[in-house]
Amino acid sequence: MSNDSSTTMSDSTGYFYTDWSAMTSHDWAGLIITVVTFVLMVIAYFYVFRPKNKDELEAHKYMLLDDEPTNTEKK
Amino acid sequence: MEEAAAEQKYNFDVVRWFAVMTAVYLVVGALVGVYIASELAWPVLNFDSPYLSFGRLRPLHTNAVIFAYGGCILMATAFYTVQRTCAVRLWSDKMAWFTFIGWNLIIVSAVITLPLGITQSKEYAELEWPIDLGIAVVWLSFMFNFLMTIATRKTSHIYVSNWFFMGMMIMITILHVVNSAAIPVGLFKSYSAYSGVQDAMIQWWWGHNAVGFYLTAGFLGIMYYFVPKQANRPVFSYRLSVIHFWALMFGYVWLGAHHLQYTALPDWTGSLGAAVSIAMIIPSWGGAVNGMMTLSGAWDKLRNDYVLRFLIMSLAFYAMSTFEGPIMSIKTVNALSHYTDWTIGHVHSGALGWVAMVGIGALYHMMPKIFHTPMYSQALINAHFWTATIGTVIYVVAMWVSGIMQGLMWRAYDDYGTLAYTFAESVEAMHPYYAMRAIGGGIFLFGAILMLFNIIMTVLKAKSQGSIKAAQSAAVTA
Repeated sequence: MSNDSSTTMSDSTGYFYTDWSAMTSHDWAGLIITVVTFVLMVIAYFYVFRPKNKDELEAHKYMLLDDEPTNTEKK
Repeated sequence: MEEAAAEQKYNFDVVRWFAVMTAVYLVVGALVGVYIASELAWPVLNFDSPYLSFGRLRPLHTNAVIFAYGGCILMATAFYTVQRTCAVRLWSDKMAWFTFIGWNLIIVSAVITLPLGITQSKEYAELEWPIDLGIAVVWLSFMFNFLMTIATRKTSHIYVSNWFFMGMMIMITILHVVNSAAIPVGLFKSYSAYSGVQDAMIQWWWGHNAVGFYLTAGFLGIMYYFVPKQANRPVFSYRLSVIHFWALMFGYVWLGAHHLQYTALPDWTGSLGAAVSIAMIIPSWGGAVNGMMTLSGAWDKLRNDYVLRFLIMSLAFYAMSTFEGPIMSIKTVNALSHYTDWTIGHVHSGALGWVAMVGIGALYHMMPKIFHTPMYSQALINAHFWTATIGTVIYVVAMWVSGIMQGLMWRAYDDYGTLAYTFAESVEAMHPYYAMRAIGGGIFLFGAILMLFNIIMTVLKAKSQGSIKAAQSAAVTA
């Protein structure tokens, strides 16, 4: 498939075309960081919005109102 | 009893000094800003002196407001909140004082070198290499003390504000070291380790992340502590704050390239920067809504709590500027907005509306707690709120109109395909808006002076009442 910019932007298969053999080490590093970041964000969203974890996470918001020096949550 | 316990348990001395210097530097930074804004409206104010020229005073203004005001309020609030949320004293008092003295010496060195024209010519990273080394050492002392305080905490959970502060500290360390890499050719002269478009990309990777991690993540740390504390209500959603944090940490580092649309930078890089900028609206607005909805069911507090007004208004400006920025990063809009005053308006919507106001709100919250006496005047806080808000709105509106007019004049063609306006004609058209900007900035400056006066009077009141000594001596005998 041609990677000519005049044709690649008009159809989705051309838009997502990648010449893998032309990937440099910098390209691979960037790609891996991007994919890992994406996966980590998906995990973060899943963990945070899982109903099972709601009470545990939301409980932490009250510690702020309890931070006076004479009244603190102990380890 | 509460005050004595706080004095016994925590190091508030260094927080007190940082707090007072915050107010001083806001006045200094805003004063220089108003002066250079006036120079643009009335160039006679240059007085034909190179030391007073816009090119030399502008970096002094940005360094004063970002690193002097911004740095002091970040260090004051970070040291204050980490102790309270971790229920433990700062890990090292001596290191905290080293940070305070070192940071202020850096500010003094900026005040001396920038008007003399000693600069690396990198925006928001103008200071020459010996000062850069000093920044790295002092910043690391700040970070190390903060991290060790968290490591020795007596609470089981690390509250979300501390995560934002830690994110800022780690990322600014990396950004500062990489962007400031330079080859010294003398004590006051160096050349960047990078060249050409790579230098530009590194510069704006730093430039936008100074906004993203220093002026946003750090100040969100302030927001997540002081909004709930001032409202005396828990933050609306802790889960949203967690997502806000990680999305910000992962997302912000990609945005820098949107500063370099239509340059020698590869086209896709700018597109990527713009795409991620648009995506960042989601966590930014999530955070703003999270802060504002903390008042859900208690909006009446805004009627008479002037400090809370500052904090909530800052979130409104945060939401506005984090929507405007991504829009401006889109290439079509950028073609009109880039190099115009619209950018200056956008920046000040964030700087005055968000950064300054959330910091001011935090400062007003902390003052009675660290000086153990109520603020000298609530009426002055109210007056400050209105001057800050009105001044910011006038400034931003002037720059919006001026910037869009500039962009339209520069791209206008006549029937023969030649430019419709000369550059000088566009400069002439800007004059009323530059005058309006100086007036808006002047109103904001007046509010900052009111705050400084109020803070000085509060400190003097605390001294005459002996409230700090009383709390300390009660702590000793407790």
